[in-house]
This record gives sequence, structure tokens and C-alpha cells, in this order.
Amino acid sequence: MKFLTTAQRSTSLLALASLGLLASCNKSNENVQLSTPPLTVGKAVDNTAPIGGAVKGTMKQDLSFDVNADLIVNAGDTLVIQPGVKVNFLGNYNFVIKGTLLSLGSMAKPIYFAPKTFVHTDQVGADPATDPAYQGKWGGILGDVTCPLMVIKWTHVEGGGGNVVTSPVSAGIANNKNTYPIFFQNPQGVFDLEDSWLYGSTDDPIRILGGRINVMRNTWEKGGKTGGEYLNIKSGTTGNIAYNLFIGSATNGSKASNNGGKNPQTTIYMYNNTYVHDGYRRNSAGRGGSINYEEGSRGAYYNNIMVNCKYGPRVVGSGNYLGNVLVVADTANLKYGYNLNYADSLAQANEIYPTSFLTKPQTTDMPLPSSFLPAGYKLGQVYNGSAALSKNNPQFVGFPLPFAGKRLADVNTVGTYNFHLNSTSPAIGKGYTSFAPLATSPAIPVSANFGATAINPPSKDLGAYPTDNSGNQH
Amino acid sequence: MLQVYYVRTAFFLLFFGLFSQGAAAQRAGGLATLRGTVYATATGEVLIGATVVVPATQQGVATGLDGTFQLRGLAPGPLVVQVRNLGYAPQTQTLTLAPGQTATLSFRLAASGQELKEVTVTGQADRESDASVRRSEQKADNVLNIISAKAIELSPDVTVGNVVQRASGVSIVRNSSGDGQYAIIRGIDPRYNYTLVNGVKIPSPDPKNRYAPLDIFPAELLERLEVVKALTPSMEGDAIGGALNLVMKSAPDHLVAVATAAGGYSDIFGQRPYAGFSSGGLAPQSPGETHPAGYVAQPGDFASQQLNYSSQKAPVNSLFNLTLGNRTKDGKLGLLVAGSLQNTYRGSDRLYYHPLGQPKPEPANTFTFDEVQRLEFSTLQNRLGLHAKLDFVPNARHRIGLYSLWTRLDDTQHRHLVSNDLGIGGDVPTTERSRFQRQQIWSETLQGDHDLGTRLHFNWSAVYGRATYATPDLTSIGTVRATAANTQQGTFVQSSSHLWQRSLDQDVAGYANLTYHATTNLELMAGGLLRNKDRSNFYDYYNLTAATTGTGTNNRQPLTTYDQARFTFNNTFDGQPKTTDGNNYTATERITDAYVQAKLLLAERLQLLGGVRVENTNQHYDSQAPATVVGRSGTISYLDVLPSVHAKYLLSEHQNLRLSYFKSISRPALFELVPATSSYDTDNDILQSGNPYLKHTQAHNLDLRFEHYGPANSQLLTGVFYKRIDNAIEYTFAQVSNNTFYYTPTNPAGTATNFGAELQFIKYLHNWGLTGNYTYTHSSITTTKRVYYRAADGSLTTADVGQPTAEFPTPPTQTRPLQGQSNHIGNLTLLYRSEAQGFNAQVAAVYTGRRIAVVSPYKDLDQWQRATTQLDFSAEKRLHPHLTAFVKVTNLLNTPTVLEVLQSPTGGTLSLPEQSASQNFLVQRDVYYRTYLLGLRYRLN
Repeated sequence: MKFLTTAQRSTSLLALASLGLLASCNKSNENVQLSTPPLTVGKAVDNTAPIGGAVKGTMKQDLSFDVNADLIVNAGDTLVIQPGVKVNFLGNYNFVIKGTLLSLGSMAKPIYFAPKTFVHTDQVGADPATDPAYQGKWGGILGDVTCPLMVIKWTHVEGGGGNVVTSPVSAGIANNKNTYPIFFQNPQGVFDLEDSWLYGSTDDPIRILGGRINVMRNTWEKGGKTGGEYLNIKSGTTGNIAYNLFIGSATNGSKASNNGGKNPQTTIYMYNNTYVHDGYRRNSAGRGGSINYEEGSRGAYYNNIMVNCKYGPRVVGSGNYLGNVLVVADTANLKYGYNLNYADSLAQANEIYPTSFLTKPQTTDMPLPSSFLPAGYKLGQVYNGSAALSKNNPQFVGFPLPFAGKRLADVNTVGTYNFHLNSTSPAIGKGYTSFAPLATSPAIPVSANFGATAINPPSKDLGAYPTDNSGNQH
Repeated sequence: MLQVYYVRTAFFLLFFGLFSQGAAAQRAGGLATLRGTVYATATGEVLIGATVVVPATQQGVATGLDGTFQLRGLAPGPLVVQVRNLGYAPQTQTLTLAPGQTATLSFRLAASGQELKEVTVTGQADRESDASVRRSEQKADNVLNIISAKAIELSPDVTVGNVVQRASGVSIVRNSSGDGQYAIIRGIDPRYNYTLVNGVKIPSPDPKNRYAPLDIFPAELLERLEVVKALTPSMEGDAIGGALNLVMKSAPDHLVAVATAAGGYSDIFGQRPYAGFSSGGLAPQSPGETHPAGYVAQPGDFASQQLNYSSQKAPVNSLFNLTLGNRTKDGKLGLLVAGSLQNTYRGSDRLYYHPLGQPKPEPANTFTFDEVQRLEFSTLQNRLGLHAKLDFVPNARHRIGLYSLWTRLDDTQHRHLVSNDLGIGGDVPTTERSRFQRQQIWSETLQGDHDLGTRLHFNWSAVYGRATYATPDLTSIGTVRATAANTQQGTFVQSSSHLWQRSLDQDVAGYANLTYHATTNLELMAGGLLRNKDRSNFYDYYNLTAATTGTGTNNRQPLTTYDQARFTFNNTFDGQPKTTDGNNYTATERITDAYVQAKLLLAERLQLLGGVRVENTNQHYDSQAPATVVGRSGTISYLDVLPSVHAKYLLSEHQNLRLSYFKSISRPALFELVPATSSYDTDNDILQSGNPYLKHTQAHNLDLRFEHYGPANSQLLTGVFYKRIDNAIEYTFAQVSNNTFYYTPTNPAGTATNFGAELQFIKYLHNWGLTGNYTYTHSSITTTKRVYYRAADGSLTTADVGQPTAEFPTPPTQTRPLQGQSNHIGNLTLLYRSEAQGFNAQVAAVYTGRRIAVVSPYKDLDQWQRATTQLDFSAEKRLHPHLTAFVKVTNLLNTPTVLEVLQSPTGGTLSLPEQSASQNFLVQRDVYYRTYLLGLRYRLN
């Protein structure tokens, strides 16, 4: 009320007769939602025939585009994709971004990047060997070193990660290797991914070799066939990863490393994410299954929920082989705590603090480390986690725990599951909020079209779905 | 092992038997003694192995390495002594001996056979001799060193690759079996040197190197090996270190027949079994080739029988050689054919600390590795060489020669790799790789020499050469033994790959040289060449992953046998042929050269040779890379003007002083220009990429040399050299993404300099000989390097080109020797030779100082090859006038090849295998063990 102007106050006094009128006339509380025309730049892209080659301008609302060759947004050019657009790949083609890409979907009208014909085989227990999600039916949205800005909002990216014989980008992807459905590699550039869905890939769904990043409120399913992290970050990257749901990854949900020789040092905050049944398609041992920091990366991870992940957060620094210590994360500059880890199987409870790595148990962790670790526990030692089995059930609204299915690895998609918290969840009110999201230098602009819609601060509740509904909107 | 023991014992028994027999033959006593030396009249050189006999008593000896002889136990009184030597008229002298007298007598033999003089065809035995070779070195217009066939025959070497290391200033790059493959001349990388066969270039079957690998040539085909260190205008100008000229055996002037048969064994297969496979069933073509265009391969299209390995203990190496030559009575037509067949089982064991792409930052640039690998190579090499030299001499003024060479090297190699991957907790990956590789060269050279009048001489060559390389179905299979806690235990199938690679390199060339003898003191020469090279490369590969059953953490495929493993394609498009891979390319190269040179003799003492050569290079390639790739095709042309001048001053009849300057170039191989990435065919699975921006190298070369030719073939050569090299080419790691680097040829910024000194000596004392050489080289280049460190602001920072930091506002640099350049190279050989006993033996040592093998993008992390001393032994014993037994033992000291980073491990010496030095970090260690060869040689004439 203190914001009321003198004029408004006098108006109120003149209309004292009606309290209801007083309330309805309080214009400052008005909820005004006006439609805005979707952003348009340059000419409209023609969709009457399959497209390929250089592209710029605007892909107009609700149109479908068939792609029959690599698409390239040249350096200096901008491509805007309006809500409801479907980009259908007819084969193993890439979307090479040397300029600016703005993929601006909306909750009502999301955008799709997918193979032309693509079948979701989402029944629990589907064989990944034959699942089209992992077969790389097209390449990826590949940012080149010149891409200054890649904004992807309310967009589905599905079934990518095909191999390239000769890499279409000037660096970052080797010849004869797989691509990533989304790839960004400019430490000076901005990569913004919000409210989007990543579904399927052969290896990492997203790889970042440098950039200022904002990755918020996304849902990730079926990432990596036999290996791959949902979000694999290398040197030159700074930013925040929050309010994401990572379900059924091959290896980790999110991983940060300072490998690659770029500046600045990789600094990532990972907070309020929910990791569900991650790490089971990576067949080699010890690679991780939820959060990972390695090789000189730093930052923080707080307020995350991990459920039945193959490994708890992995801070690399040991892997000690006769005195040679593996390349260590920047442990002096890595802070963490307030994470909840739930495990139904003893093999997983034994890896809440992964064997032979450097993750330090925190007294703010759930379950309480002292409740299941042996006295005198040394970092990375083998322990028996049976006392932690099925403790601190986060009480998801639509995902009954203990897990009743056949195998932990069978859970790879959201389907009808609901990872919001029941009101009795022990995750409520346990969040650590005394830190701000990492401020990148320079800051990522907050903008409906040219930057982040929102860089959400940490929540008082754990996980991607806090009870105030400020988190993941899916 | 017992079998091995017997074989070894046999060798040593033979070895000692030869010596004891020799000792028994030493008889003392007698009333008078005759000593002397035998010379050739024409040249004044001593004659080795000439027979000195007393016809009356049949007492006789042969002259030693210095041409001397000693006859003991002669009855006093008149004595008739006769000296005979092949190709010379016998000479008889008479003298009278007093009782107890030691008399001295010299013989000077004249060459026999009129046709020899007329057509200047010298006898084969003569050209292959040490004496002739020393003579050639002395007479040469430029700086060169020569190794004779006789020296090669006596040496422990069976391939040319190993022979070259005996030459002054030459060290070698070894293949994975430990045999020499390429020559480093005066510390200059093999890429800057060229190889000639009979004076002309032949194409290379090596897909990556312009010049043929030397291990493809059996040593027995050589008449002599010339190492040319200063180029005259009449020579092709693309050598900076030097040129190797393999002069193959020539048609003799009489019937010659030599047959050799030898057997041996490689000691490594006494340590562990040879694990080989049969290359018989390998598909010559890939599924993409054998099916219609667009075919998507199926996992069932790939054979697996090459993954069946069978062990053999101590397999026997065999070596056969046959040389036949003759000349028609009128001397007009001569022919020599030689064939060589070698089957050798070679192997090596490697320990490899796989370096992590990025070092540790604290302290800055701390070397680190992510895997410890152990590799075992089992290689069967089948070497087949055929060569024929035909010469037609219609009269004294004309000579036509046809030289044909066909040689093939089949390399059947199994690589067994076990690695301890430190990034994972307890998985032990194993990779087996089966590689069959066939390299072939076919070359025809037609050469003519014509005297056009008394002053004009014309000489020409027409050359066709075709070199091919094929690796059909290079197959690897990866498995893993899982031992980590909380995971499924067992051994599982992981992945498989199949690669087909072929290349063709074809040359058509013509050479023409016109010489005009203006006066006795002035010779003018002009000429040129035209060479058209066509190259094509084919590359197709398929990567598969283990088929899994169902989902979940326990779905790995257990390993039963390699050929039972089931695979699938990971991606929808993995089965497609790689038609858009830039490794599929065609290329052409046209070289057009012309030169003029003059040779002037001043005051009988100073010879000046100078002139200029112009070389025009035109290269073009078309790759199948996508149209969007920069450098998908390219045309590169350049013109070089290469002046040179060579002065030779005759200080005395036996002493020369030489001073020479020449400018020269080095062209990148065509493979190095095409911007494509290939892998698989390196021992450590390094990705390699071409670089279309690569510039050709240019160098200024200066040589000063003093030569002393003493009596009895003794020699002392000493000199200094200086080279200034612009646009040097080195292989460096270019970062593509995190942990992915392409090993790429680049021109490091700045000028490289290379200077050094050289010493070579040969000294014989009757039956003993000592030869040696030493080269000091200093080279230097300054390049930018990366530094990864913790900056003052607390962040982990990389300083690099284009990435200035507070601590390094300009990129860090480092000054170092050129890649492959050793400061010190030396050879020392001790010879014993007794013609009387028909016994020869030599011990040869080669010292190669430390040198940079791998240039790291990071400062202080270059990998250096540790200094090595290799010791080889050989001996032969004449059993019968025509039959000789020989033994060759190589690598007596079991010298390993060690790569290391010159950085002290933090926290002192690591308690890791072979990490014994506190100031170095061992990266790679290869051991080869000894090889033994025992054989018989039959020689008619």
C-alpha cells in the first residue's frame, strides 16, 4: 500500500462507501497479460520445399521445415524460430550455428527439432539397443567458435547425435566422431537453455566447450546410449544449472571439467536439480551417475535430490595408481552440501560417496553421513551403506519409492511420473539459500528474446520442483 | 625354452669354433720370412685379399685389409713368388732369401681385360669394394660418404634401413620392431632427406611419407650406399639433410653366382610366444566397395577369423638370396638378376604412460597420464625383392641400361594392448589389433650414356615407378575385465573396428643431362627433369559396439572368444561407406627442373663447381570432403631458384679441402596437405591430420670439410656445417576439443638453425680395422607453447597464442632443438679380417644422443628419446673356396628405446614400473631383445 500515490489515496477516500470497489480499483495489483508479436528478423524462411545450406531470418510461427542438407546460420546472421515451429531432419544433417540462434518457443507452442519420423518407445524396460532415441537419426545444433548467442526456450530437441565423417564446425568436434544434439563452444558467447526438453542422443545430449551459460528448468530424458553425460562442460565455461530434471542418463546428469585449455576456469553452480536413476547405461565402472566435478573445475552444488543414481556426486581427485593422482577438481574452490541422496539398492548406497574419489561428506547431507559411514571414514574408501538404504524418501507426488520396478536402469523417461514434492517430504524447507547464482562476467542479459527469461535463485526446498512452483514448469 | 637354449648354444659354439680354428691355423717357425704390400698400378690403392703364393711349395697367404702380407717358414735360397687377384694380370717376382732373413717386396698389378678399359665398365667385385668406395669419396665433386657392398655383407645388417646407421652423421628412426626405417642425416629429420635408387627417385609406398621406407630393401641387393651431404645443381634440390642413393648391384664382366641361405631367431619370442594370425581370409575390399553405392553395412558383413591368434615359441626366421650375373664374350651385353626372400618374426614390448592432453596446473605444466598401457607386438615380415640390371654396350661411345626393381614387404602384425585406465575404478580394457599391410614398389629405369663426339656427352633416364600400399580390414576388438566394487564382474566385449586403406603413388619421369668438356680444365653441364606424380588414397572404416541384451547395468556381453563376439552399429548411419571422408583423395604433382653448372679446374689444385637449379612445383589435390570444407581441394605451386657452389682444393695428392654452399628445399608429402583426419595406423592410435596451409621448407647450407686419404684405404674426414632453415616442418598436437588432438604438420614460426661438426676415420693395421665417425649437431628453434597454471587471482588459467593472461601478456615461448635432432651421433666398428683363414668378424656400436621425439603443445613437456648405444656383432668364415658361413647377432645389449619428459616428478621418483630417474618422467619404453642369424653363402667367382 505504501506505493499508492497521493492522487490514488484521495480517490480511495472519495470511494470509501465500497470496500469491494476499493479492492478492485487498486490498479497496482492488476494482472495484465498482453500478447506480444513474436520476434521477427529479416525475411521469412520458405518452407515450401526441403531446406539446406545457409539460412537466416525468421522461421514463422507453427510452420514445419524439412531439412535435407546441413543448415548453416553464417557468422553475423541471425535466425529466429517462432513458437510452434517444427524442424524435421530427413537424414543425418546438422544445424551449424556460426551466427546467432534464437529458438523462442512458448509453453503453449513449443518448438521441435526432431527426425522427420520419430517414434517414442517409452514403455519401461524398452531395450536401448533398438530404441530410436539412441540411434543418432540426425546431427545436432552445433555452435561454432563464432556463435555469440544461442537461446533455446521451450524447445524439444529429440533423437540427435549422429556421426560426422567430416566435422562441419571449425573446431570442437573431431572428424569421424559423434555430434551432440546441442553443442556450444565460445567462452565469450552466451548459451541460454530454459524450459526445454532434451530427449535421446548417442553420447552427451549437450556439450559445452566454453561459454557463459544459463541452464534452467529443463527436462532431460534418455541421454546417451552406452556413455555420455546429459550436460558435459569443459574449460572456458561459467554459469548456473538449476531446476533441471535429469532422468535416466547413461553416465552423469551434469559434469564440469576445466580440460581443453580455454579461459576462464570452468566455474559452475549446480543447484536444485533432481537426478533420477542416472548412470546405468555407462557400462564401465566408476564414471559417475549424478553430479561430477573434475580436472580443475570449481563452483558449488547444493539443494539437489538424487534418487537411485548409480553414483553420488563424484569429486575427482584420487583414482590413485601407485602414487599417480588423477587430475583433481579445484577442490579448494568447490563448495557443496544440502544434497539428498536416496538409494534402494545396496550397490548404490555403497556409492553415495563414490569409491576411490574425493567427495567429502557434509553434515548437511541427507542421509546424515554419520548415520551410515563407518567411524574414521577416509575419502573414497569402500564402505557398507546398508544403514542408508531407503532412507529419507523424498516423497515425490507420482513416483513411488522404494522403486517397485524390475531394474533401476529401466527408468529413462518422465511419462506419467511426477517429481513434485508431497507436503510431507523431508526435502521441504531444507534448502540452502544463502548464496546467489554465479554472476558471470559479463552478466548474461535478462531478456525475453536475447538472453535469460529468469536466472532463478536457490530455493528453500530441495530439487527441481520447490513447493512455491518457482522451479521446473513441466 | 629348452629349444631356445639349444639354438643359442649352437650360435656360440659356432662363434668360438671359428676363433679356435683361426688360432690353430696360426703356425710359427721357418727359416726366412717375406713381407710386402700389393698395389693396383692404375689407382695406387692397395689390394685386399690378393693371393700371394710360392708355386713351388704351394705356400700362400692373402693380403690383409691394408694390402700387406707375410709369408713365413720359407726355405732359404732362390724364391719365385706370384701374386694373383681377380681382374688383374698375375705378377711374378723372383728373389733370393738368406737364412733367417726377413725380406720385403712390393707388387703392382695392372688391370686385365681390354674391354674393361674401353667401355669403362669396372668389375662388379671392384665397385663393391671398400677401396673403390674410398676412391669415389675422394674423387667426388661434393661432400659424400659411401658404404660398400663388401662392408654391408660383413655388417650385421639385413635391411638397408639398418645399414644406413653405419654411415657418418646418420641416425635412424626405428619401426615398431626396432628396425631402422628412415634416415636422419646430421640431425635433420627424414622428411628433409630423399632416397634415390640408382640416382633416380622412386615413389613411396608409405602413405604418409614422400620417400620409401628403407626397411623395404634387402641389404643384399645393394652394390653401395651413398650418403650425399651437399647437392650439386645436377641433383634434385629437395634435400636439406642429405640424399641417400641406393646403388643396386650392376651387371658383372664375368659369371657371378651368389646364393645365400640363413636361419635365425628373435630372442623376444624366447621371452614370450609369438602370437600371430593368418592374413589369408582378409577381405581385400570394404563392404561399401563390394556392394552397390549407398549400401549400409550390416554387422554380419565383417569377418573375425583374423582375431584368432595362435602362439608359437621361438619361430625360425629365414633368409634366402640368389644373385646371378654374366656378360657376353664380346662384353656388349651384361645382365644381373638378384632375388631376395626374407621371413622374419620380430616383436617388441612397450610400456606406455598415456599422457593426458592437459597437464596438471600446480606446479604449472606438471606432466600427468591417464592410462598405463602395456603393448606387445608380434610381427611377421615377409620381404621379397627382385631386381634385374641389364646393360648393353654396343661400342665404347654408347651404353644403355635397364634397371628393374620389384620389392614387396608384407607386415602381419598383432598388437596386444592392456591398459590400466586410471579414470575408472578397476576396469582393465584390452585391445587386440590385427593389421596386415602390404607395400610394393615396382620401378623401371631406362638409362643411356652417349658420347656425342669427343667433347660432348649425353645422359638420360626414363623412369616409371609405381608404389602401392594396402591395409585390408585392419581389425581391432576391445574387451574389458571388470573388477570394480559394486559392479558386474567378468570380462566383457566392448567394441570393434574395421578399416580399409589403400594408396597408390605413381611416377613418370624423364631426366636429361648434357656435358660438354670444353677444355681439360672446364666442363659445362646442363639438363633438367620432368616428373609427373599421381597419387590416390582410399579410406573406409566401420566402428561397431558390442551388442547388448536388454537394459540395465548387468547387460554387458560376456566374452567367450573373439570370433564369437557379437557387434552392432551404435548409430543409424555408422554402416554407411565414408564417401565424404577427405582421406579419399587424388593428387598430382608435376616437378619441372632445369639446371646449368660448370666445373673448372684451376692451377691443377682448385676445382670449382657451381651453377644454379630452378625447380618448379605444381601440386593439386581433390578430396571427397564435403563442399563446405575449406581446402577440400587445392592447387599449390611455387618456383625455387637454387644456386650452389662447391670448391675442392687439393692440398696434396692425399688431401682435399672442400667448401660448399647450396640452397635447397623440402616439399611436404601430399598426404600432409589434405585436411583429413586418419587414425588406426599408428602404434599409439594417434589421430593425424593434414594441413593445406603447410609451406615448403627452404634452407641455406654451408659445408667445410678436410679429407685425408692415407695409405691402405685409411681415411680421415673432418668438417663443419651450418644450415639455416625457413619454414621448417614439425609435427605438433593441435587441439580440436578437450582431450582430442590432431597430430598435424605445421610450420613453426621463426627460423631454425643447425650447425655441427663431423669426424670420420678409417684405419687398418694388417688384419685389424677400426672405423668410426662422430657428428656433433646443434639446432635451435623457438616456438610458442602453452602454460597451464594457477594465476594470481586464484583461477586455473591457460596462457596461449590468442589467449593473453595477466602473467603472460605475450604467449610463452620455448627454445629447443629441432624434432628428431641429436646433439651427438657416433659409430665405432672394430673389424678383424684374415684372408688366410677366410675369417672376418666385426663388432659395431652406434651411439645416438638424446633427441626430441614428440613436440608437446605445452612448455617443458616435449618427449625426448633417451640416448642409446646399440651393439651388433657379425662374423663369417670361409669353409671352402666358394662357401662361407656367417653369423649375425644384433642388439647385443638389448638396448631399449625410451621416451621421457625432462621434468622431475613432484614428490620424488614414482614407484611405478621403469620410473627410476628422479629428474625424468618415463613416457614410453620399447624393448626388442637380440636377434640371431646363421647362414651359408655360396659364391662362384
